[in-house]
Amino acid sequence: MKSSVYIDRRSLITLFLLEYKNAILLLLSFIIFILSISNRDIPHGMPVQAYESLVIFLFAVFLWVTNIIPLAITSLMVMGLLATFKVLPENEIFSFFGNKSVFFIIGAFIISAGISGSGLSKRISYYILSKFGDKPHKLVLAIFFLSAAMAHIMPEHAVAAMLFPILMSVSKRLDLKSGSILGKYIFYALAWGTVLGGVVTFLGGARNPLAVGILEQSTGRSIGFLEWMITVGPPIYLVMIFVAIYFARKVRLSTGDMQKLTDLFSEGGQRIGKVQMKEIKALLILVGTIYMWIFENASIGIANVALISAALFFVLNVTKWEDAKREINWGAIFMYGGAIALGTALEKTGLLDFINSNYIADMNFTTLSFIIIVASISVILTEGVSNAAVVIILLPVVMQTAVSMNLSPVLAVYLVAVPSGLAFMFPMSSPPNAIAYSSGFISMGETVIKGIVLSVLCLVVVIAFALTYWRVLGVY
Amino acid sequence: MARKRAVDSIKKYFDIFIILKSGIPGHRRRVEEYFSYGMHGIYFKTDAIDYSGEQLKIMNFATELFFRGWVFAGTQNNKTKIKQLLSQKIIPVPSESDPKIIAYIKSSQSFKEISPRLKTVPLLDRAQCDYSLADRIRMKMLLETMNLRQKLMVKNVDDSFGSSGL
Repeated sequence: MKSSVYIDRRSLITLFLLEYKNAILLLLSFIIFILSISNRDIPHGMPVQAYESLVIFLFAVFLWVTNIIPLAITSLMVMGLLATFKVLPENEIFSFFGNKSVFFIIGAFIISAGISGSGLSKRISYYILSKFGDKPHKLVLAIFFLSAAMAHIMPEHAVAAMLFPILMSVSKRLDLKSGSILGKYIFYALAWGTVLGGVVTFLGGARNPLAVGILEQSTGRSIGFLEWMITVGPPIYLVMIFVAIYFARKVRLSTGDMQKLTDLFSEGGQRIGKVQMKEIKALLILVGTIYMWIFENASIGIANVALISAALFFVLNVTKWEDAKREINWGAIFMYGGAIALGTALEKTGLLDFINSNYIADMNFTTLSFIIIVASISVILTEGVSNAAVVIILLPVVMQTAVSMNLSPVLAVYLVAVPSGLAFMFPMSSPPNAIAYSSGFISMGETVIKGIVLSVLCLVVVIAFALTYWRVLGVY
Repeated sequence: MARKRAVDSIKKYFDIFIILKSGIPGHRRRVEEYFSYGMHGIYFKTDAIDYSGEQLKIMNFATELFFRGWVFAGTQNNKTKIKQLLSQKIIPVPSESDPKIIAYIKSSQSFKEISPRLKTVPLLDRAQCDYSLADRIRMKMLLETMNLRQKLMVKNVDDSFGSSGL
């Protein structure tokens, strides 16, 4: 008798605690929050509003880290708490939601929806794979570079979700079993390619524009699309070269009937049919958008370009609102709006100044130790916490520390945002990892070990570039 | 699944105790399955005069799953058999309704230890009676406690994979 249920016969108190651990944690954290925020025995010299913003920040960090309520809901609650406790004027708090980074992210989601909805991304994928996937190692490298390239223009989870069914067909057609080396590296290529590629632009992961949004809100300074790519691209491309060499060596001896694959890709290509007008329009909009981001950033602004570009997908009838709204991650947008409000509250209430002058200033960081510590914390934290949450938690304090060390806050943005995108160790660290893991070809233990090695490699490369290349570029 | 859906539907609209009438199954897994449907109790009804050791083991297993005092078993009006069932925490249900036997069951120490202490005991008390608000509240609380216990104990295999992050 096969059944999908079983009876858990542990003690009822154990079962109760397990079932309601989130509710219990939430209740306890809320009680501690109320007690803390009502407490008036605050450190000498700290403004009351600064203390209240600190308590709200710690409460939010607890909820973001434990994920006991959705991240977006925590962000919305943060705005409500900031307004309720009059940390900042109500109108000011809600106005932070109008930050242009938030609108850039909305535009980027719609652009992504337009590209995938037009069929352009699928056609490009089939074209690249059929062109270069005629040998096992070339197939893995093609997947790796294709994933990375697509993650330059689309959110990394969208790229992984789009390529996943194609790669499952590939593994099925090649009759790959769960222990297959080729099967394993096909999906590592997917996960690592999307994660690495997503760090290089503002479109791969919304944490990048979020970090820039926090920078703008706090300092008035910004980072352009091209500027980001020039700064972040080289270290990430170097890591990609190392990874590509590793893949080529590992898969070199794999065998497989690649003729089957050629048939699969040509069938896939035929199914897509001839090039549609929608795809041409999507490609033109995309090229135009990237051009504007790179060359007209100063005069128009990336958020405005993103919104106009998003509108063009509708004006030119490339996508429909019903399709686009499925792609827009409203949760991420809520989360970022609240996060920017919180980051600004920390700065405006004087909390960051207080922490800096009372605690961090005494630590006498050198530039080297600052870079190593911040990048390491970010890369470690991102394995357990959402990428964007890492930015929200670390960036305000790190920016203030950088300023107090006479370093540019822009350096802080790169040091927090870049490593926070490099999550390789666990399926839950990043959506592409989870998607690749669900293939069944990747084991948890092996992913953790490879993830640690890759994270350390990324960390070393990023720190090396931060100390040399970024200095030459004038980041700090 | 149809049985589970039926039980869920009843629970959605009525605050009543749901007891499954069944023969004694040949395997413990079947008892677990009945429990997973969301039944509050189980009534093992057989025509047998005596229970085999295996049947007693299965009924005893049921008492470990179901809430205390909610496993019933049919029996002849025989005080020895009744005592034997009560000692196993099973409520005996006499084959012929005899007020003296019912009174005997209710007065026994074992029954008092396992009884849910309701105004009328299901399957033993056939007469309808009026319930005060306090009775209703007590029944509601008992029902919800039993439902919560069931919810905590019945696990879906897929959910377990999900919660482990797989």
